[in-house]
Parts: sequence; C-alpha cells; structure tokens
Amino acid sequence: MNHKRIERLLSPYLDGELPEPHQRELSEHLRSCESCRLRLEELRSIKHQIRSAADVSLPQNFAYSVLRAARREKENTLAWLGAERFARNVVFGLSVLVICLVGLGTFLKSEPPVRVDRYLAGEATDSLTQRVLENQGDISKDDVVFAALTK
Amino acid sequence: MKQTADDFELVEAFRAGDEKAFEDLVRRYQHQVANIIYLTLGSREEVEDLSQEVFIRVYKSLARFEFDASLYSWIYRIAVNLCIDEIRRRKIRKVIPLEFFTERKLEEQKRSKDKVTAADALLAKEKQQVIVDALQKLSPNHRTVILLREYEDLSYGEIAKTLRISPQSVKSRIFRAREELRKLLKGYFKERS
Repeated sequence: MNHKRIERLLSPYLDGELPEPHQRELSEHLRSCESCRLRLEELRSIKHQIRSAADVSLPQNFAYSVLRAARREKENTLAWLGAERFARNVVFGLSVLVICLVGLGTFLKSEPPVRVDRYLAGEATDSLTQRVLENQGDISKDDVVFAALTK
Repeated sequence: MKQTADDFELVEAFRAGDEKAFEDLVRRYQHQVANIIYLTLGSREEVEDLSQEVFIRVYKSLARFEFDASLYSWIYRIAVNLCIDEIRRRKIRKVIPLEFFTERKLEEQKRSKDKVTAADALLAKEKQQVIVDALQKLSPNHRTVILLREYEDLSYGEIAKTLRISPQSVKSRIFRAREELRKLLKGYFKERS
C-alpha cells in the first residue's frame, strides 16, 4: 500500500469505520511500520486529551434554574403576544374609524346633484350649469368632456 | 446513539404537562452539553449561560420534536448551532499562533518540572489548556465534527445525521481536523516522547 494513502486510512481505522479488507490490510501494515504506529498513537492521544479536558460541571440546581428561566421566557412571550394582539386590534379599530370619518366628510362635502327642473328654472349656480345655460341649451362635445372630467 | 426509552417517556410526560420531566431531561444531558460548549468555545465563563440557552430552546421546541433522530443528537444540534453563532458573533478565533502558545506552555511545564514539587494537578490543567487552545484553532466545521467523534463517540453515520452532512464529508473533515491537531500539538507529542 502507498504510504500517503495509509496515512489517510489511519483516521477511519482508529474509528472502526474502515471496510473489512482495508482494516485487515492496515493492521498488517502497522505490525511492520513504526512511523504509522507512532502516528496512530498520536491520534489516540488526541482523543484521550480531548476527553480528559472535558471537565466542566454545572451547579447542582442548574436544571431547576433552567426550568424557571424557560417558564419566565414563556410568560414573557405570552405577555408580548397579548400586547401585540391588543396593539393590532387598536390599529385596526383606528383605521376603520379614520375610513369612516373620511367617508362621512366626503359625503357631507359633496354638492347635491343638479336636478333637471332647476336647470330649466335657471336656478343652478354651479359652473357647469351656468355654462350650459349661457349656451342656451346647446352643449358641445367639449362641454361633455369637461363635465366628465370635473365630476 | 444515546436514544433510550426513557427519553421518549420524558418527552411524552413533558408534553402532557409534567415539567418535572423536563428537569430530569436537563439533568440527563447537562454535562455533555456543557462540555461540548466548553470545548467548542474554549472558555469556561460562558458555559453556564449558553447551556441554559440550549435547554431553553429545547423547552420551547420540544412539543414539535418528532423522534426522527435521537433526542440527544437533536439537543446536540441546537448546542452546535448556538456555539457556531457565538463563534461568528464574537470572532472567537484567536490571533496568536498556537505554535507560539504551545511552546510557551511547554517551557512553563519544563520550568515547573525543574521545581519537582510543582503540583501535578496544575500541570494536568495546563496540558488540558493546550488541547483546548488547539481546538480553537480549527475551523468551526472541523471542530464540531472532531468533538462529536472524540468526545461524544458518535459514529460517522450519526455525526452525518446530526450535522446534516454526508458521511463522506464527515470522514474527510475528521481526517483534516486530526491532521491539523497533530501539527498544532507537535511540540506536545515531542515532549511526551
């Protein structure tokens, strides 16, 4: 076996992740190759060092304090969701109110339609009516367009 | 993988409203989670806070956990993601080359050996620090994979599932991580031999 290739195989070999024919082949190689044995030993040592460095422990009441913190966060989330829903309802209500007020304002401001009998009586005061009356009843195409655009 | 019938019972009990079951679940995995965080981030100060954050996330999402993976690998994924976010956030990788650090440590160890009476415990602590610092020099991807293998003893298939990568990527990342660690710890190995 090529030495470079063997070096790559040492890692899965150490983990027991090498397919059987390679596993056996490598075991045989290791019996006769000191540098590979040394390399494998270094890899084992890394594992050992990592495991022995993991010596952190948490306070005895850790689990309880986690539960308390989780509950608190849940309550805060619920409170926030409630506040958010309330705010959304308020915004919705205000929007409806504004729309209603604008609608009402528009309705109150709009001029009453000019009725035919008032045209005939010449009482209408709005500019279009005046124009029609001035032309003695003749309405041009331009007047119709003007009327459509200004309505 | 560390999937037990108890995990299932605890999750079911929690879903049924028994919060004591959640406490038991935390107790079961707190040690592994804390040490993974420590080895990944390389400092002890934030271990408790981050472990708490991991389990709060577990608490919030446990109702949606479907047992399509083992409970622990799911918890582990939460811890790994949190650590990776933390690494990115704090740009935790150190600027000082580790070779320098390792050599300095070894010199200190030699000096303390000369004194003969120097506490063995302190020496062991320093050795631990050398490996923890070496781990910090790896990229987050390599660090996570090597810790799952070396500390958690997960198989390549289990690591692949936990990190959602292919077993081939697991194999190659483990190989590269080990090669990097070997180079970084060269002085340490010489010292030992």
